[in-house]
Amino acid sequence: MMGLLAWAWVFTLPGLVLTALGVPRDRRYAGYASLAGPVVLLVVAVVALLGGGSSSVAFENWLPFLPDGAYRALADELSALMLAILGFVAAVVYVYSLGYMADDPGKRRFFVYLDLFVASMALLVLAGNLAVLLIGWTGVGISSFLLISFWRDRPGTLSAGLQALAANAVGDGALLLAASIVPTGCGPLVTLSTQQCAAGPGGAELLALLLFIAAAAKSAQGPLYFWLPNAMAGPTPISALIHAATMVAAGVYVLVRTHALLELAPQVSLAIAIIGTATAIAASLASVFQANFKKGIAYSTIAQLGYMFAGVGVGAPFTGLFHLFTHASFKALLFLAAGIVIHGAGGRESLAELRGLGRFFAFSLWGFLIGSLALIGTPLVTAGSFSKDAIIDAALANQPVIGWILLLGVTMTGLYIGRLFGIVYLAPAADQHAVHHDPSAERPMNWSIVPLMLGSIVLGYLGNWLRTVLSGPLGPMEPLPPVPNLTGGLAFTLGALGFVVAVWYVRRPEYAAAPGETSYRADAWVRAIADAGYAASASLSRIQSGVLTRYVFGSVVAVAAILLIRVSLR
Amino acid sequence: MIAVYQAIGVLVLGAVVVLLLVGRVSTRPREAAWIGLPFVVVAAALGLQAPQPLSLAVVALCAVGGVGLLLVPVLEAAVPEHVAEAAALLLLGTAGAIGLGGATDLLQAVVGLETLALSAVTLVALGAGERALEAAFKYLVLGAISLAGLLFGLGLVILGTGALTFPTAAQVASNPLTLAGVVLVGMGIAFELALFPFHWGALDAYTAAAPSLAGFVMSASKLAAAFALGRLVLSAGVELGQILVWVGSLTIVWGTFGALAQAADLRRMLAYSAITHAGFIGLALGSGPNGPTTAAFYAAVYGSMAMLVFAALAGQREPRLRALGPMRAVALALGLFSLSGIPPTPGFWAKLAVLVVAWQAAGPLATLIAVAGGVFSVLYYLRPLPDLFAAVRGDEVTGRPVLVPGVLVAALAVVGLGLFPGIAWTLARASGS
Repeated sequence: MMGLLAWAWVFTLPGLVLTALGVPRDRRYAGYASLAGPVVLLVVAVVALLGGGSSSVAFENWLPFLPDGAYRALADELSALMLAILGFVAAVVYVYSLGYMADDPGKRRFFVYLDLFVASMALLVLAGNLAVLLIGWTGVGISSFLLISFWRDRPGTLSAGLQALAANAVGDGALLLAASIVPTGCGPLVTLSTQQCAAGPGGAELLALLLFIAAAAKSAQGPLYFWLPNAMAGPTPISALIHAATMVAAGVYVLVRTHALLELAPQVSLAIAIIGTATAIAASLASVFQANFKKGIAYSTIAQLGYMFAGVGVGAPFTGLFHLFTHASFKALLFLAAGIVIHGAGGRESLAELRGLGRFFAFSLWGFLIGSLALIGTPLVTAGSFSKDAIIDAALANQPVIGWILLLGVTMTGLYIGRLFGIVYLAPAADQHAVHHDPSAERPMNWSIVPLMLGSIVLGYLGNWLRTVLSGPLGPMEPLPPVPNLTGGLAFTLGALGFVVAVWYVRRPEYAAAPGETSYRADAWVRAIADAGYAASASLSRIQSGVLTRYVFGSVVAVAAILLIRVSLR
Repeated sequence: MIAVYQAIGVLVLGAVVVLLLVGRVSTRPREAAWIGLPFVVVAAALGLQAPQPLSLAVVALCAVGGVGLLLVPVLEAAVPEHVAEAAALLLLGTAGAIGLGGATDLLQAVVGLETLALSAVTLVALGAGERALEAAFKYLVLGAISLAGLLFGLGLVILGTGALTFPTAAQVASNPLTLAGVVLVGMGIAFELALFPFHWGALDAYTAAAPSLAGFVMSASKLAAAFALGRLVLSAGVELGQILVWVGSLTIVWGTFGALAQAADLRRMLAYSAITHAGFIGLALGSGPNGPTTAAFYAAVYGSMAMLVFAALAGQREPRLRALGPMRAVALALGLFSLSGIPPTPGFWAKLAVLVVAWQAAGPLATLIAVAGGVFSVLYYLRPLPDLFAAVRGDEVTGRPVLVPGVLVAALAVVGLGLFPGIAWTLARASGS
């Protein structure tokens, strides 16, 4: 089965072609041709994961100009797990989108982009070397841009998409550089840590640093976080699939895949842990001040990715991956539950307008509650507790300061998710008539999130099994802490405290005048750089004035200068 | 080498034949194109027998010229008169470009370069409106100045070495006059490549020319100049290479910033993009012994994608993206993806190849500039995409969706180079060493 899985990126392409060609013709069933892709992906990945083993595909000398120019795909337990996550969330999101996008004129285009995304993401996960990784890496970035800017007539969608492109470009650049500078013959991801490959200029540190920059851009870590909140301009199913569960987790995946290289570069590892922790705390704080429902959840994603980075950085890549696994389920659940309310409220997303509306959507209410409890890490009954405690435990053991910060940070988690839950689901409704029920669109949405609810509850129990299965690609690991344990209990108590306080606070009638847009703009510094860049480019292009004499002058002076410098410097 | 001369001869013959028939075909551009095409095909077949990497130069240039010819019939909107002359000039320009790219000594290079440059200027001038005429005039004057510099350099080389052959590294090292001569000749060819700061005229010309003709001028001059400069650098050694690295890096910066400012003007953005790509070629040329191979590969790839973009835009005086129709919109999107270097398009492979040699030979700073110029280019190339989606939906298309044969050929070239970049690379390599 691993042999088949190595070609998993092909699975959604038939759906892509059919949907693009307008099959089926009836507009109501647009997108149905795409549904099989993610389901096949899920089934094949799960069967392959159960079977174990590994399989690789290699076409040597495909790109003869690169240090490693082969096409290499590698399907092992790690990629199978990632593909299973991708298939699971994608299948849910596809079904959900049938309802969410039912009335959208661009439904077909939407599913084509979705198929493109799943194919790129699968290629990213299957990549056996840097060259193939680059294809998938850029592919998911482009699909993300296309989907963020999907509603191209709405204000702000294009600039949000361009922001995502710009942030991704930084990461792409780092990866491009990594693929260009490795010594000849290097490039396979699993052998990057060999002595030969780490011997290039800059050594293992430079290579690890480049991979970290790429990962940070994709996973919105550190200063490169700015694009993710604005990416919420895209449709909600996209926020769930791409900007919560899978693509943004690709950074974590790559760091886990190359963890042997990180072990050779302890300073980079420490930087990963510190940046992850700082991002987790800062993003949690930022989430509390969001006026937009989806942006509040987006900051939560950034924070949780920070936890995963911290786990990888403290030398416990499996804990990061495990949290990625459970997070995919409960964060997708949070987004999709939120999407039901947003859809029912006619696309409005601001907390002030959504205040109290959640109670009219039972599936959404329960989904969001389960997701929130998993996010805080309620022991035994939710998946989040298993994985988050594993990260905190590993951090406490290896970098105690970071461990304590992460532990205390759970309070913030409780605060921000409690605030969102309190405002949308528990507060008295501001305007009941703002809700509009459309059963035919709501049915696929409601039922599609049920698997995610189950996943958010039970997936944590798979931890020790996964640890055994992944001991091949990841090497031997320390056992996970028993559940429940002291750290977990402490973390949950803090989180629950934050949750209750936040719910109490926002339910007070005084709070009814919900928060407006905060004056602090998260992307201010990026905008400043962008404005400076555009100003510089505008003034530079004015030099191209069209005046012939200036052109002549410029050319002649240039030739003279080059000649003088070249001949005199010899 | 004989094969190259034969190819040039066939192309010139074709140009003469088309011109002789101009009275007959001037109102029937389709016939002009069909008369010219066999000559291009024969020239390409002859070129296949040339030694590598010249065979790549001849075939790529013939492909560019051929696509240009295929697009002649849709020129009428943009070139109201003289459509048939455009066909003859395309053939003549291709012949000149092959002469420059395949030159074995400096005199051949000068003759080829001038044939190419004059054809290019005239092709630009054929475009409708005063803007095209004005741009062509500037291009002509600046080209004349750069020719003067080149000829002066040629004189210095003769003075230093007593011969018209490409000077060797030893000759350059021993005599500052030869060095100055080589630098001047290099800058003269860099004008064809449109490297900053010799890009002024080219930029305006690329903006104002009729679309498919602009595509030919950009592609053919870059291809020919990349091959000629590659030979010069290989022969004359590192002195010229270092200049090209820095001029190339500066060009990338200049072109990137210039393109970023062109939010509203697609043609101007594409002209700046041609400058940026010239910078990549220049950087590659200066990057050590593998540099010229990479530059040749890059130029071949650039030729295919520039022809694709302009084939998609062919026949439009001002680009109206929403009116392109689905086929051409998809083609244009593919071309823009490739220009911006999104894998797995050939533009991406070419950029990667440049980064590899640049890191090895040109140093970290130049490599970083190239990386930044490469990755941030998505910010301007992908900006027209939303409009293209509207075109795919066919909102404002008048008439039936057409797929011009030229678009098809260029698209096949881009797709082929994207899937099998190794073939072009191998052809380019045998050349260098």
